[in-house]
Amino acid sequence: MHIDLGPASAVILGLLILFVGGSIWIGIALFLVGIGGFFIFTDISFGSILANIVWNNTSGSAMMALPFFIWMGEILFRSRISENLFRGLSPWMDSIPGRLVHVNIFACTFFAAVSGSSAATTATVGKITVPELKKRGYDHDLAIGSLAGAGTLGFMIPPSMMMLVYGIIGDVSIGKLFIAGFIPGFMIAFMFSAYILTRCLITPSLAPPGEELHSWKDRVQALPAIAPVVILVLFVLGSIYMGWSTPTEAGAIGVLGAFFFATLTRSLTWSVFKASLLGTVKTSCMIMMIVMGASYLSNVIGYLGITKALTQYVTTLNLSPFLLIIILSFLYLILGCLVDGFSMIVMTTPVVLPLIEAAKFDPVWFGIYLVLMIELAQITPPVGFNLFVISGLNNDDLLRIARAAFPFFFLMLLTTFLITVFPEIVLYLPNKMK
Amino acid sequence: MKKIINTIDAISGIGGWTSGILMTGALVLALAEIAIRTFFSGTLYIADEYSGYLMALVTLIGLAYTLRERGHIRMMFLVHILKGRTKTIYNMICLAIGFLFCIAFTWFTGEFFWDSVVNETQSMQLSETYLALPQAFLPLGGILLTLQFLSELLKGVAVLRNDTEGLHIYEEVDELGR
Amino acid sequence: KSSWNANSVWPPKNHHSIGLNDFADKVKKATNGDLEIVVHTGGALGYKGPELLKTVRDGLVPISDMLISGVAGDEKLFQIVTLPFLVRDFQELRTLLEICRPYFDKAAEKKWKQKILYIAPWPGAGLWTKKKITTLEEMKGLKTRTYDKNGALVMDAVGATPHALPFSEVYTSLQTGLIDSVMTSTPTAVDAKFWEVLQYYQPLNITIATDMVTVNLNSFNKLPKDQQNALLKIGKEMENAMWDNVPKIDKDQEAISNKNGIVTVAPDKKLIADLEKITENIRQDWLKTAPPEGKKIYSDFMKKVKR
Ligand code: NA
Ligand code: NA
Repeated sequence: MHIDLGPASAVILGLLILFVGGSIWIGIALFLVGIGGFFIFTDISFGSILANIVWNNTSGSAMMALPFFIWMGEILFRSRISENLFRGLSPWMDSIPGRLVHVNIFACTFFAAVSGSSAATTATVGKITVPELKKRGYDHDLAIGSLAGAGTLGFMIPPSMMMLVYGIIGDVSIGKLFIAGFIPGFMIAFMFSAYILTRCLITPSLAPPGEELHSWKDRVQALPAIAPVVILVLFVLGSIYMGWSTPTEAGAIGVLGAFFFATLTRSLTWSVFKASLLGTVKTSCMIMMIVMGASYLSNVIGYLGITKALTQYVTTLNLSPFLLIIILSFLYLILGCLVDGFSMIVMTTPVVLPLIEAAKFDPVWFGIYLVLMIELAQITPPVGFNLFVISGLNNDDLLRIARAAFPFFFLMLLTTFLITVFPEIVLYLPNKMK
Repeated sequence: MKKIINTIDAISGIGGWTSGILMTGALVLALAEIAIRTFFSGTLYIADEYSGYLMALVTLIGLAYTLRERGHIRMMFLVHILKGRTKTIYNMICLAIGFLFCIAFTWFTGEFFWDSVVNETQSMQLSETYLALPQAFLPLGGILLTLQFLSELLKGVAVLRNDTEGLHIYEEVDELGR
Repeated sequence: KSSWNANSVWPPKNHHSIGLNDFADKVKKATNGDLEIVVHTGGALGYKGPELLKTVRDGLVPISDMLISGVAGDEKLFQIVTLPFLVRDFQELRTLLEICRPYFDKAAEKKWKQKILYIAPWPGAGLWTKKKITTLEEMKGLKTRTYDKNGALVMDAVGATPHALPFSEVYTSLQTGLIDSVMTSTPTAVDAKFWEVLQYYQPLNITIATDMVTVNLNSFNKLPKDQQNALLKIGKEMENAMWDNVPKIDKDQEAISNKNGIVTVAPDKKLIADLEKITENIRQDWLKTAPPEGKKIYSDFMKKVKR
């Protein structure tokens, strides 16, 4: 099975543009591209691989975190809790340019500490913020763009699925990776907020002005409206850190807590329950269909040896460390358009990590760099999970979301540049560990 | 024809509900495991394994319902350009491709399921569950999704004939909070 | 000239992955580059483990490494190597596998359309804990992550609680105290850097897991005769090399753990004897439902080791 890299990549890309661009449902389109790749370039029975991928990608307990956290978001959204949250936050945010858009950043950062996945973070937060921001007349592009960007923090702020996978494949301390994620994570959140602030200073109409400036009394009175969500997230976090539940099971705790507060605020009716349940089915089935298709597509790319060949090619170039990172970043950005984060790690790490170590980069640093690359991949079309999730929330076109997310994409690129020039940003905390 | 459409739509609805009920089951299972572990230092033994199977069941059995409710996303770029009959026909071409894919999907996953039946494949966990049981939901989900694509195709025919009375045609609109 | 994909679900630096890479290199050399085997590690081809007998049978990968206990859900006979406290050391495991081999070969070729190239062990599974374990009594109440049925049964038998967590959640669960111990072997402990969250290692050899590397029969038969012979010959060489190497790997990995702060607690004779006794039911229960070849292997093995 010898395959020419050029034609194979071209065919895959062509099929992808044809099917995805041709309005086939994303999950099915990815499957079709995969089938096309297998069919044209190999004589392997692609059907068996397909069935196997479907089973392997749906039958893991860790996957259950996704519907659980989506369900939690659904309940908060369908009951009045999320509306209250926004009402309660308004008086606190009224003097900050950008006002409630910052909730996207704040909530994603907070929630990222609970969830190890970026899709779950985006779906849970977006379920609440997108309709609320829209209702209040905020600029839609700024709302979904900041959500798409901040949602990726699910991977950077621990716990993180991607760091676990990298830690095991790359033989790197998971604990150090987790700790290393904090500063870059908060830095990204801070930069996002700073960007929103600047944008809204220049164009105040992006965030509609509040009717009046609120007094501190108003703010204190608003606290009970914020409390349920804050308590809920602290409770879910607590359940993990107290050793009551695994991060997956914490999703179940979250659902339970959401039901509790919905009951407490007398907003849990049968129709709310029904709508939250069926809404969760819709969202998680949509995401899972794409997860399966993306995994199948990644599979054919792995089978054809495209990733391996690309990374091996870079190996032969004998680049200076800085140039190496630039070339790798290009490679990962291209790869990130097509494959999912897990595949990006398992397919490239064995080849790239030795290179990185030879160039005297710290493996922990590279892990954070890789997570950044995966975060970027979450918001680049055609295969970008945060784009899919947000499109599922509000029926926006994928390209529109990608465009809206571009400033945030750029800020993360800037972060990549910063951590490359100042690796201490990443390594300061882990180096303090014994 | 309308009878077929409405029957399929109803079946997919049942699929959606089943998915929701199974998800509730997974929730109860997870909470029970947490409670037993935290308060009694015990375990249900099968919580992890079965929540894995439930995840597969929830996903597969709900796919058709998700299609019916316009939950599966796609790039609408081309569709937005088209108008009227052309748009309907173009959508029907997409539906036909989806329909054909789902037949293949059902066939492949059916083979996969049957392989586990023939070999009496068991899990290597304590339950020694016959994997064919949860895996049966792969082709089952495939069949439901195939049928729903058929239903959508037939709805397209009805739209072309200008005869949609008694049918529920779901539109892909900016509906908040989906 | 042909090029084959080979699959290993283990990380690239795991000894089975390294072994498979060595195998590929040797085959390439022996066939003057006519047969190239491209090894994909870390499950990069999307496989998880339990499906691999079927995967190789269907030729989805012509060659794959597979954990025998992982694929034993498809082939009950293979479960014999998963029985706890059946073998006490590598020597006994090798004896057991010598008895098994003709039966395993037959099952692999007749039913699963593949040829076993070599079988190689993991270091034995011990207990990695937060507190020191020297007696059966001290095992009571442990909250232990186990990975399969027999591991769970052992922990259940001693009055501990087995938790079947996904591997990706083991590290955080140890950190938070959801579990306080893990049943596994030295390479896994090193891969997951258990010294960051655990203190003691009890090398109990609860089971000694084994991997086999198989080749799809059809792909194999299509090769020219000399390449077929090269595969078989190198397979044999690999098997010997791996068996020679694994005890050393075990020691090395243990040393790495020790250097990083894990204390090895040499198991007390009484503890091992107690464990063997308390797990007797597990082995007997399996024998009741075992295929006839399994029973035959069991009794032949017992005769051979004089138990
Ligand atoms: Na996280
Ligand atoms: Na992408």
